[in-house]
Amino acid sequence: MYKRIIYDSALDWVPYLAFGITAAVFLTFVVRAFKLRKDSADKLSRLPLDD
Amino acid sequence: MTTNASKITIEFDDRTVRRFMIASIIWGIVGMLAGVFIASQLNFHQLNLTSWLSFGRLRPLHTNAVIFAFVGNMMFAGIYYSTQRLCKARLASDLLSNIHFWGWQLIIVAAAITLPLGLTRGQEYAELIWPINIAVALIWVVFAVNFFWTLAKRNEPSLYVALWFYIATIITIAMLYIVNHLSIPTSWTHSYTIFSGVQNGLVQWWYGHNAVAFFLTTPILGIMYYFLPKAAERPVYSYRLSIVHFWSLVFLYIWAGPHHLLNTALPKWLQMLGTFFSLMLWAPSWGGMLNGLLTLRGAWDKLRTDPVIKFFVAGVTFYGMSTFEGPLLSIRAVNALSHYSDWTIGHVHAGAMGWNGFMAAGMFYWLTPKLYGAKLHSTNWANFHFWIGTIGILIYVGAMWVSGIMQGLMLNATTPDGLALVYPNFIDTLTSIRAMMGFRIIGGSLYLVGMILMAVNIWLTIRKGSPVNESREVAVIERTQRDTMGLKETFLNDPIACTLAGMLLVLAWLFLPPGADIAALICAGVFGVLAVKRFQSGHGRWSAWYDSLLHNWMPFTVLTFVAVALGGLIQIIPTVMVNRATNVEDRIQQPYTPLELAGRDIYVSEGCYNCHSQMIRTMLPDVLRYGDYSRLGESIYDHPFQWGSKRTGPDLAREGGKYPHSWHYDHMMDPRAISVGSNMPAYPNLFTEKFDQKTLWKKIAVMTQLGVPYPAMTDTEVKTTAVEQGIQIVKELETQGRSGALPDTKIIAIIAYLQKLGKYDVPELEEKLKKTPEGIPFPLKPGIPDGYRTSAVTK
Repeated sequence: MYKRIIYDSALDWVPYLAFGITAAVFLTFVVRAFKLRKDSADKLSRLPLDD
Repeated sequence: MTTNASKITIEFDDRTVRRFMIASIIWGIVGMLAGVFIASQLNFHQLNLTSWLSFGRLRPLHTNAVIFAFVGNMMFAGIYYSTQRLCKARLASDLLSNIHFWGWQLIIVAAAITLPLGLTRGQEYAELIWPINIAVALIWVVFAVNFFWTLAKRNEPSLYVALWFYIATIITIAMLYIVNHLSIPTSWTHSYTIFSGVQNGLVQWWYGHNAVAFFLTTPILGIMYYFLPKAAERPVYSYRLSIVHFWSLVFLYIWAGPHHLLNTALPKWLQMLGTFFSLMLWAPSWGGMLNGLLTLRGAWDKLRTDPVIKFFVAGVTFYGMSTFEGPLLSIRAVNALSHYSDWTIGHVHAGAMGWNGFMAAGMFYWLTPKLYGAKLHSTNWANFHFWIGTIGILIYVGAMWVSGIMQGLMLNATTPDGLALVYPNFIDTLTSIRAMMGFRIIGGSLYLVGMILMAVNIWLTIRKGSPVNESREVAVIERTQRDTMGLKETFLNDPIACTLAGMLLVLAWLFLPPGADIAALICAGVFGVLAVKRFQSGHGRWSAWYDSLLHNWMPFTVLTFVAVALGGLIQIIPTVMVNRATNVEDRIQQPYTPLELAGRDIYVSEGCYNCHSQMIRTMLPDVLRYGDYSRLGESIYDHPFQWGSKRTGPDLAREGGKYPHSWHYDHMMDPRAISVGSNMPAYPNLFTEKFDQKTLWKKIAVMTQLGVPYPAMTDTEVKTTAVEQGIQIVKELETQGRSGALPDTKIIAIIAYLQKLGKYDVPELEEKLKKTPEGIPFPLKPGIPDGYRTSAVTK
């Protein structure tokens, strides 16, 4: 397995892996961000101004 | 601190903020002055006044000063100021704050002394010697404890997004710094990194790239998310976007390091990962930039009058431009042109001067009146600083673009039949960019003038006022309102357990031997199904766990660590764990003799790697110019690797045997006597100084410990072997008409090293020839296209 990892060009799967990971991370946190209630988001965004 | 029922009045520790701010300005000017000086040395070689003021030794001083002294101190000032306000709590410990400040300044002073003395580890942005590395790690821990302790005693339940970026900075830099600096000492001032060749290259650029990401970017983004709303007097444009920005940025950034090694001997799949993740970084980077710029909605009129807003807007814009250019340079075809050229230099300076420098200036102009209770001495001066700085950056970056693209095109130009170079003489390409190198000095000087003007402006403001520590009455919150999750709740829950178990099974699939790897893959599949079912039956718990991150720093920190560690693990472990003897593309580097090793240490000490690479890329122009492309096995005993990142001079990977000893002897004494038009410093000191014999045995012992196959030798044998080889070189020099050289001088050692470059053995060649089926192109022949070599080896 090591040898394959070192030498494999992996043209056929690396792009999919990279895109899959990125898409999963983006989608997960986009969903989380939109699930954040508006009043909570507004409150959080005003924290620096809360002097 | 006075207490009144559930409210208390706290006095923020602004003294620490003031100290870091002033230190940042002072070190910034020192670092940029060094930058202008070394830029001048490239055009006027006479400015290499002495050995300790030579380009190779001062360039690391410039980069370390700007990154760790200027931006580092600025970052600490911004983090400490904003964290106290966002947590509604004074910094946890005055003692830790003092240790942090003075410890960091001592580290900078130690670096400023050791680097010009030629004491270096020979890796970019990781040059500092091992005792200073340990000090950096300790002071970073002090910073981390002070920061997290402040979070733990905060009086605000929620964690604002700026704090997220600070957490990512602290844990990721700790991880990167420790791994990349793992070394075995040979003396109090010297060590060898435990990694070699490709392993070292990958770990170094995993560190180097992410030093940019997590030292120069994430803390400044946190500062942007705090100070920009303060200056614009309105909340951040979209808090939801900031969440997506944070997670996607920290997760993707860590994978992109291999884009520093495109077209090299690095395995292709790693190069591809580097390219893909770099390209996808466009999205979060521009999301962050837009979030910053749109925060000014309804306040754009301030841009006309407020220099703080000017600096912030320009800084964020430079962030966007740099993060557009970075992925562009990570495309393999573009990188073939840009890498090793001034284009990269222009790119990093757009980020350092435009993003870091302007965000620092905006923050300092905003902070000073508040920290000293006085109106800024001159707004006009601040505006003038903005314009002279902007013009300076544009001249600098524009000149480097032209220089880099011009030299890259010339170096890569081949005749129509593709059999010869159009510009075979490297010096011709250097001569053509001299004017642009001159414009760089002008651009850098203008920027430096702006910095000095800011220092004077702030100094005069400080003199008008007096130090002010802000006091504020805050409501004390109950312990149950914050950090309700301890270690148990942090780790024993579905999201964390499923993520960690999934990662372990995938790693097991990658690393276990045949048979067991398939079993691990099947387990991973079964586990994935179970995890999905568990999520379906209790997604409310998963959601609640995520929501708790907004109020609990510990699970948040763990998740961030998992996000940044994953990319590094998958990229580095295979390369580090691999059995080097069977994975070297049928070439194994010949170990250096004691004299050659001494010469190599001199090469590293003089910072030759700042201008010379030792990596012939898998590109036709490189092969035509420098010889057969470099293989993984040819640098397998190089601790540290010397692949380089810039070619102000030619590549040296196959320098050995190219010229007689006398050529190197004359060239080191007066480069222009050999290469008319060269800008290389002369090294007369090498002709009188003796190479280090005292610790040579120890160095060989450490190399042996690291796996380099040296025969057992006593201290005396090591010295005798070195001097005998020196005598041989001196004799050969005499036959070439160069008399008077001494066998124990540095020049002899460095000639020995240079003549060894590119020497390798072909192990088990005959056995492999016997085993190779007919028609398979094996073993590899010089010039075999890059795309075919992998399939040949894996047969």
